[in-house]
This record gives sequence, structure tokens and C-alpha cells, in this order.
Amino acid sequence: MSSRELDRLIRKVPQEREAFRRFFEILESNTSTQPKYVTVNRLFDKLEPNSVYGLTQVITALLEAGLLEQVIRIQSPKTGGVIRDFNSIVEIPSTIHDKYSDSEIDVTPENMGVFYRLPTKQETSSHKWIIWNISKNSKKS
Amino acid sequence: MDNLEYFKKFQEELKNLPQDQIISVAQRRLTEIQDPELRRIVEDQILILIKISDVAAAECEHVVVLIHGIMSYAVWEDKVEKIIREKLGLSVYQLRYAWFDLFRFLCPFYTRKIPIERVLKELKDIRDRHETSRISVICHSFGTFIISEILKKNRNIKLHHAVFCGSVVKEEYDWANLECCPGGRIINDCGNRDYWPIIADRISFIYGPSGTFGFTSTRVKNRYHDTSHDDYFNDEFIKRYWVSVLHDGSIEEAPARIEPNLLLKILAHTPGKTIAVGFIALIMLYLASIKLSDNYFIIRVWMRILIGI
Repeated sequence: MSSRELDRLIRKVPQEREAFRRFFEILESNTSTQPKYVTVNRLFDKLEPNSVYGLTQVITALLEAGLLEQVIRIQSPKTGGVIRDFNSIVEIPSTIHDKYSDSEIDVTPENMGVFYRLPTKQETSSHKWIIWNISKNSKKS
Repeated sequence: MDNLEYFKKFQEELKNLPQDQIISVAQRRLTEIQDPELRRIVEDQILILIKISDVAAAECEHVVVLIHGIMSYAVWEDKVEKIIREKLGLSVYQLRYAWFDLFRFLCPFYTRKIPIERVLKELKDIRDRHETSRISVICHSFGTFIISEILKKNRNIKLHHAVFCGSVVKEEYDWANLECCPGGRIINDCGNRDYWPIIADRISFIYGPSGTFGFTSTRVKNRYHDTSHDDYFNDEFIKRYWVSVLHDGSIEEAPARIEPNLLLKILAHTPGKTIAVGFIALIMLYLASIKLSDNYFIIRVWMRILIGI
């Protein structure tokens, strides 16, 4: 993903420019060497988009840019342990074997987690010039 | 159908779906979409909608604070509160700092400190009572100045939307470098027949005509209306321009901008402060040119007029 492509994605959602700026601020201050996972709710709080639809537009752009990775995780309702990760909601079966309770469970939104993986410090530094460029442009405009 | 329509459709559908059917219905909706690019976008939206239900509820926890201007008992606040409660069901607080007269408004020293501190104290109190809510403000005239001063000096007052009307804040107010800039929209409704911000700007060093000519910062959406200083508080205006911003941050555009009339333009370029200072200097020169011994009486009269001796 080049700086220009990312810039194009951001320009598609001009009303959420501030949310993008906040995201780049988070990346700039990220010192973690381990992957960090955040929930939708956490992103909503941190990025402060104008609406839920605005948040979907920002996340879609960041996923396309490779700055976020989405993980759909089915967790045990008993222990919260990870049963299995999926790439798409279409792949999720209606029931799944919960190894923690050794039983078949129904998959519902309650035991399905959606997480977004933020880039680590090293990954951020490899994207640094892109982030710096976009961050600078969004401040300017 | 574009992705916004899919979003709205699924959002509506989600309200009536039992928990155990949500995922299967989402899967069905996705398989109906042929375009892989659109399917990917809609899938992201659906996942967020499924998981954000708590936040969506929290999003409704939105508090609106109203702040009035000088020489006002803020009768308009009742009307704005009623409409916002009816249309959006939000909590509304009317912040008051009692009658504030023109002398204290124009006085260059200390007089503004009291209302600013009072509003700040109340805002902090609202913040404490609504810790997880978003706080938006609608301010009129001197109320805009109070909020601008509070934002300049306080990092812990985090606002969501800020709606200004009849603003007397300086046009070049540095929104971009505020440590705690409002996170949502910053809207400035200007009146092309509003001469009060210009007068305030012309005869003081601390106010500006942003309520007539708008802010220079790109962070602010200036909307220009054919209104005077108090014309914002009618049902139609409130419903059309303010309710939409508070609802989802969407901005209703104002009609095409009308040039302020010639009188306002002349007023805006009148060097009011220079004229006042020049006038005083001329008097002083006149007095200095008079022989003190011959005109003692005249000097006494002038001194009495100017400094009350």
C-alpha cells in the first residue's frame, strides 16, 4: 500500500478526517512490540467518529490499507477461551465444538468476538513514512 | 443498492432479530451480494453493527449544554431544550451565569472571569455526572467567548460537537492547536445582518467578528444565514440546522451566502480603537497647547470630564 493509495482511501471519507488523524496518533505513540488487539467499542471510543456508519467507513479503509487486521473469534461461553478464529462471517458454522466444556455450542453474537489487530512498533516503523505523510497531509487539510 | 443503504437496511433488521438468528441472517444477506468488493465492505459493516450494539446505546447518551450571551435571561434556551428533547430525546442542560451587562462585557480587566469560572465549574459537574456520555454545546454570542476561553485553558473539558451562533470570538482563533479540540463537528452559524460581533470587535481588543464573517480555521464549518444576532432561535432554524448535527453529525448546508450589507462592511473596517485613541490624543494635545495660567478653568473642566478630578 503506497502513501498515495492510502491517501485516496482517506479522501473517500472526508467527514472522518479527524478519526483518521486520531488513528495515526495512536500508531505514532505505539511502543508495543507485541501485537495489540482492540475491540470495535474501543476503536469507537478512541477514534471518536461522527457516527457508527462513519466508524465502519474508517475501519473499512484501514483494513484495505493493511493498517488493521480483522479477527473473528469464537470464544467459549464458559471460560472465554479461544475456540477458533475465522476470516469471514460467512465461514462461521451455526454450532461449534467447545473444547473447554467438551460440548456443542450455538454460535451467537455473544460468543463471537470481533477484534482488530494494530500494527506492532516494528510494523509501524516500516509504515512510518506513509503514516507520517498522511498524518501531515490530514493536519494540513 | 450502495453500502450506506445496506448498512441502514441491516441496522433496521438487527433491531428485530433474536440473538440466535443474527449470524445466519447476516450470512444470508452477504451471499445475496454478487460484487465481491461490495460484499467485503458490507461484511465489515455487519460485523461492526453486530458488536457495537452497546456503543450504539451509549451513543444515545449524549448531553447538550446551552450557553447564552450578555444582557439575556436566555429565554431561547427553553425552546431549544424542548425541541432537542422532543426530536432526539437527549439530556439538555441550560447553563446560566446571571445577567451580564455591557460594561462588564467591554471592560478590559477581570470582569469576564466570573462567568467563565461559573460555566467551567458547571461543565465539570456535568462531566462528572455523565462520565461516559458525549457533551455537545450550543452557544450564543458571549457564550461562544466563554467556551473558547475554557477550551484554550482546560485540557480536561472534552466536547463532542460545538455549535456557535452570533459568535464574538476572534476570527483567527486557533482551533487546530487546542489541546482538547471538540471531537465532533464545530459549526459556526453566522448572520449577514449581525452587527454586534463587529461592534464588539471594533471597540475591544479581545473579541472578534466571527459571528458575521466566520472563522478562518478549516476545522470549523461556517454557515452563513440571512439573519441578525437573535434570529437563530426559531423552530424552523433549530430543527433544520441544529437537530441534524446533534443527531448524527450531518451538516445541513445553509442557502447561498449573501454579502453583508455596505453599512456592516464599513463598520467592520472602521478603525474604532484607533479613532478612540486618536480622539483622546487630540484632546491631550489641545490641552498641552493652552497656556496653563490663562486657561486654568478650562483645564479643570476637561479634567473633570476625562478623569473625574
